[in-house]
Amino acid sequence: MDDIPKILAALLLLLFSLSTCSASLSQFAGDWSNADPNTGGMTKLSISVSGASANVQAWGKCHPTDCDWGMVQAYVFAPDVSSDPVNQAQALMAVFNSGFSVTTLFIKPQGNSLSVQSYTAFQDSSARSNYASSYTFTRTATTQMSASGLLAEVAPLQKFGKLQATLGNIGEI
Amino acid sequence: MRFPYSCLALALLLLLTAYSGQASMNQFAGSWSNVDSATRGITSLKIDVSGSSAQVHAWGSCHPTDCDWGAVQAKAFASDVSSDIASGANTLIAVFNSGFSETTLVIKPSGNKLRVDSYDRFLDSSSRSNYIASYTFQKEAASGTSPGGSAPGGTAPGGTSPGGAAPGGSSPGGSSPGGSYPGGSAPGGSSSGGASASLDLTGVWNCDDGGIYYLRQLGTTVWWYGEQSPSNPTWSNVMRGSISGSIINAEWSDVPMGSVMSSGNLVLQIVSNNQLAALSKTGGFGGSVWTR
Repeated sequence: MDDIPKILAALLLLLFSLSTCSASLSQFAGDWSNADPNTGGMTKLSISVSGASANVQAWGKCHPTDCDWGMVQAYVFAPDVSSDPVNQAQALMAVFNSGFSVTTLFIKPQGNSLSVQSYTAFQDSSARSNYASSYTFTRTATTQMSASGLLAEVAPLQKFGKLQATLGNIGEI
Repeated sequence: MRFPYSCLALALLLLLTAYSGQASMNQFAGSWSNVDSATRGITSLKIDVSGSSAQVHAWGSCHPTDCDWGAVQAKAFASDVSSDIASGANTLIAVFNSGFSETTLVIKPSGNKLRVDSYDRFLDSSSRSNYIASYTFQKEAASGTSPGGSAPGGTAPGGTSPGGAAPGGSSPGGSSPGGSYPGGSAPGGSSSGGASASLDLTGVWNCDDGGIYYLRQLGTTVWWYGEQSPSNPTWSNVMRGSISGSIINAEWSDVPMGSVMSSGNLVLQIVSNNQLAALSKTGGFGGSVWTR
């Protein structure tokens, strides 16, 4: 029973670390796959982060191989005008122009996944309707973590480890 | 047992009808107020629908009256390419351009309300961060009057950012691939640009920093020389700004008439022909309100 407060404190610190981590640009970095393997829309995302900027590459469902939409520079959004986008980014906006259509992606973290709202507007004279889609992306299993991404994942664990050590010492006292 | 099945079928039909009714352009139409009456962001929306097109008019929180962002043509989105927009629209996207910032509103029905995600990105060279805000709007009781009919009037989408300052800043990229913004013909580009023909800021102004400012307006460009004192001032500065609606987006720099040497950006609101107010300052600028 004596350990319960320690465990709660550790869990709180871990949650705090994770939430701090969640509001950072590095959280977007990596290779992502659509959680729905049967999607007829976007299949993959690759997001690279450097400082306060991010590049987004997307692939859409095509046969026999997926279509590469190319890479675009994304706009980074924070909670307010004075926020540091590197540490407080909450959303990315990426715009892909195919010539006949423009697809705008709004990308937000959702736990360990990404929530992606996609809006495609047609610029040709076809009668097709503009359409909206929603996707959830999870990290691709074979993702090679970028340095910043790796640190972002490790940092909370390091804090947790330090807390464990501290609590251990307190316990010994 | 036939009766319950009939009832079930009727109920399903009613549900289907109700659902179809929700996913239509008409669901967006009307005058809407932010449920948070104390919001510092968007206060009111007025959405006019005609067939498969929609026009969105927005107002932002400003003092003493709300700022009119103007009306822009929105893009409507349905669930797929073969959907009928008029009866199946589920999202509107409206883009407001103040000249120095661009605000993209993603508007979705949420029950009887509207959920609005606002993405502000800065087009100027200020160091302000692009920011996101979310709002919920409810339909106004009396829909006959425009929300801006009496109160709102004024400026561009940046005047009311969560930070109290007009948006401005550093969007990564500058040019998106493909070269165009969503919808090519992104509306709003001229909602608040330019300066009112009756506006003339040229003159000698006093500021709450104790200084005297000598302004010259040439069209949409404003210049000033300001000094702490006419003789041996401790500081003196020059400014060049561009008028967009009722906003002046400016750069300023101290000059060596005084001894202080700093520089930065300013976003000023033209409250009236005789009053300016700072919405955003960088570089340690002291003054906030100018009058004459």
